[in-house]
Amino acid sequence: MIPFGSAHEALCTLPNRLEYPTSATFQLDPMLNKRNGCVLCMAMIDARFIAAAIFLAAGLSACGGGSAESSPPPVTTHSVALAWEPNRESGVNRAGGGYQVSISGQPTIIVPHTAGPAAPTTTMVSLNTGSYTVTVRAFAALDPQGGKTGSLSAPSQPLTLNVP
Amino acid sequence: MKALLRLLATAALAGAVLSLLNQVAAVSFAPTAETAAVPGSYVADEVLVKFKPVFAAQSRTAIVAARGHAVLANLNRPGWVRVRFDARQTMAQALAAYSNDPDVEYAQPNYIYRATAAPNDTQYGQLWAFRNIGQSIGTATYIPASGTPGADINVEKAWDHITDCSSVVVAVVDTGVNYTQEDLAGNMWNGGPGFPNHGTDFVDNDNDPMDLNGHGTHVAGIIGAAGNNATGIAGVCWKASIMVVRVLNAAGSGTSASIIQGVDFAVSQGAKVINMSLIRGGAFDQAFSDAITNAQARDVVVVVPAGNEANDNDAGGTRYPCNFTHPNLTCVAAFDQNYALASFSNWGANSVDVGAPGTNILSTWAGTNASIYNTITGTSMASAEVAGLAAMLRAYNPQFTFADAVNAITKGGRAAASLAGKTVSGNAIDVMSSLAFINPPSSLTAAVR
Repeated sequence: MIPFGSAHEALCTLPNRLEYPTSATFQLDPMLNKRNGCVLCMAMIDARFIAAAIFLAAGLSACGGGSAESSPPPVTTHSVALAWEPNRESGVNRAGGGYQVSISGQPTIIVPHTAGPAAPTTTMVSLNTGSYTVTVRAFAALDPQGGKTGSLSAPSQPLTLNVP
Repeated sequence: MKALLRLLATAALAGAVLSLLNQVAAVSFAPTAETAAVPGSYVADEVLVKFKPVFAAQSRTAIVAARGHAVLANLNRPGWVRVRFDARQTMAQALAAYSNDPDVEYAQPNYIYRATAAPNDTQYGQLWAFRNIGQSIGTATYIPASGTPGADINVEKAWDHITDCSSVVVAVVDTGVNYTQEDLAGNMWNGGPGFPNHGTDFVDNDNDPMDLNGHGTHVAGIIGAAGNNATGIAGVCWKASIMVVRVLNAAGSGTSASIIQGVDFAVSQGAKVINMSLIRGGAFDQAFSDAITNAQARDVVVVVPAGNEANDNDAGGTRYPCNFTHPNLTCVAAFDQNYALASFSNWGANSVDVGAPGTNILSTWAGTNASIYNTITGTSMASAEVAGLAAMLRAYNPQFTFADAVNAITKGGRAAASLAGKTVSGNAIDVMSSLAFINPPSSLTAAVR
């Protein structure tokens, strides 16, 4: 029997010693991040291989940016409120219109018009510790040929966001 | 050692699963044409579905039936069927169901197409600026009198979306307007009891701005001659609210003083677009510049011509108001029927913003005959087309500022080879493209909690 505490230490430091073959970084689902501290601690020892594998995968993501010489800062997740000025094009503020939020390394977020005279101009996101570049584009249903395949604006001025 | 290998293999598998989950999340957020479709632009309870080639018609019908939907028809294309879905579902739900089905390659709404709007005005066929099919203009005063099909301002597609600009008052600061002309009489500004003749006159200083020249009436017709009324011509806007501000006399000339009064009148009476098809070469006119600044402060778009002397307005001598640098002012060069820069048109890489058709333009005219029209040539005509576009943009987007409208005009245009290096944007106006243009969002902020 291996005490889980020692397995945890071994797994947490292992990715720091690995040379990952590319410069790609991974982002974890925030819920998975929340889980990997406590769920793994309570894992039964006879399930240690599965638990260890999941933790290693998490380690590749969360600890992968560190060096062998120093430990990286702890990763925490924060809620971030994004807001922007409303566009004045009618098409943006009616059915088929809205905004598209791009955050570096994250899936694109669509903020569509749902009801009322204007599309929403705020959104909340959960982001891990790190630096991000954020832009917003507006979209509408009408296209430059007069059809309904849609138009997209140029991106807003990029915002650099540092999540502690 | 075996245990470590097994651990690494399991870890790799878990990593792959996580990576896949991330990709799935990204796909589900991707914007699609289907989600952007506007209700009313498709059949409410139908979708078109393309099944993978392995499925025969019978299988397709069975798959659709299993969802409680019905195949209405097998389209005459491999794999495509027209499906009626459950009326309790939304279009988005039906599309999502088929899009997530591994048996399906593609699903889309059954869109509704309509004939592109072209008005029934009797002389519409002569309006090459609106529909250039290479037609020859019978009353041409400029050669070439025929041109290149498709070299036009692409307004017909825009008319599918808007023809009524009457919510936006357009001031024609010019020689006056023949407000009794048959294609204009119904589209004049209602000035109330104070201005019963739809404007005012700073030449004769009275309230009758009747046109004694023809130029202002021609400009007004390009902006807003009644469209689709089986009469004469159509303007860029079929319905309009044209304010007449007479500042040029019967010979077509006027002074700084009358023009400034005219601009101030238009601004104070609520015009949101001013067309000023006039020009003067020479020294900077501070008083005129101040009037444009006042218009800017009141959120008014001002459209002016580049001039008709084949002059480089940057290097060959300034032309005002074109050379004013106000952000609410748009200066326009003229194309011929091939979209070459017209031989007379001024240009300026720093002073002239866009190009528009300016040769052999048929429009309304002055005179006692209400059915009078005339074909003339000049950058004034190009300016009027842009003023019409500005009115259309502000009517379609009531919250637009002058900056939004100017951006949509200049950046929403299409590149014209003949304007390369000769205008600020290098673009010819394109009405449909400007109507669809979207300014980038601004003032993005983030708050970490």
